[in-house]
Amino acid sequence: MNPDSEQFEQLRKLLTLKRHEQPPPGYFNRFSDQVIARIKSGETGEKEMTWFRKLWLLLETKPMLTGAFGAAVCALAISGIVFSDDTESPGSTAHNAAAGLTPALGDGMAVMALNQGSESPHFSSSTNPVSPTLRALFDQPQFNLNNRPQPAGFGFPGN
Amino acid sequence: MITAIMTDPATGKEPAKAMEPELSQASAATLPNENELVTQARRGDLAAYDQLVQRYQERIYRTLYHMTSNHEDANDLAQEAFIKAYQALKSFKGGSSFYTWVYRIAVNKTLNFLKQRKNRSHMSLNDLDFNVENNPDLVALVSDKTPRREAGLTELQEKLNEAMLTLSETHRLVVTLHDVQGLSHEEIAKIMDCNVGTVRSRLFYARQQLQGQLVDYLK
Repeated sequence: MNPDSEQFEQLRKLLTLKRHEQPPPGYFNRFSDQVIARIKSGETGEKEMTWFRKLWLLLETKPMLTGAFGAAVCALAISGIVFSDDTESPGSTAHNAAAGLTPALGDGMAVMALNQGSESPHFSSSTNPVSPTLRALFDQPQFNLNNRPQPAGFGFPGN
Repeated sequence: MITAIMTDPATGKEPAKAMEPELSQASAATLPNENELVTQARRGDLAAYDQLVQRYQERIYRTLYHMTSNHEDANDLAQEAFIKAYQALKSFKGGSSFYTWVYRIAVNKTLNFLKQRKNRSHMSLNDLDFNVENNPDLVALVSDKTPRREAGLTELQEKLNEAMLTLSETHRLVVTLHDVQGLSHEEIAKIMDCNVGTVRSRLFYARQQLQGQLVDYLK
């Protein structure tokens, strides 16, 4: 007898257990009918998959590709952050321009003007939908509550 | 051909005989030749292909079941393998037997499936047949472990399948084809498209791994 077989004799006996695992009764009586029916219905034996599913499976089965894809996503995110910082950093021109605007707009608007990008004062990286220029209009008091109409008093010299 | 496949060269036994289609000499003589059936199936004769499916369905299904430890997955894969084989029948050159060819299709399909399934493997095991109680080797293995023999065999079945699933797909395939299905090293080499030495080394490594994991159940 092969020495390998002697070494693994007990294991081979144990593996015979798998030969006793049986599918449900009558399973093999229906099997070929199901295959022939599927052939007649025009199936190809390949399951249709969406492009997203294919990509997912590819990433799942190829660790190197998964790593490369992850690195690419990280690089994209980092470059996006860096680019975003560049556009938000105030340039000297912007500072000077903002300083010139200060007397006209007041202290609040001066700070806002400093936060503007150097490229254009109209395109802000802020998520606030209200333009600083428009906000300046709102910041200005439209009417003074103290300037309410006062009842006129008519005094008679005799009273 | 089939006799050669079923004989284990290591032991000279026929380990999977009980699970293979029982073909007596008389019935084998009346059965149509495999090549004739393949030729007819190539012409679109589905009745001929139906006979080919019936001839090999059990062996193909069982191999895929032992690979996946899941009845539903094995059923889907076996059906898809036979459908794919029918679609590709015109490309079958006849360099190997139809049996080896369809086996290779089924095995490759299963290996791809298992690579994709890695993270969501769960078992759906078939029931043990009544003959298991008459297997003296198995009875001896479990009788010392538990007084309730039936519970012991079910537990053993689960542990064995769990241990099988820890093997890599190629190592599991070699163990399944050789130790469970009873194919020869040469036949496995043809199916896996590798040399016999590779089959032997994989078998040795896989058995070592299994033995290490199932040491509690081996005397």
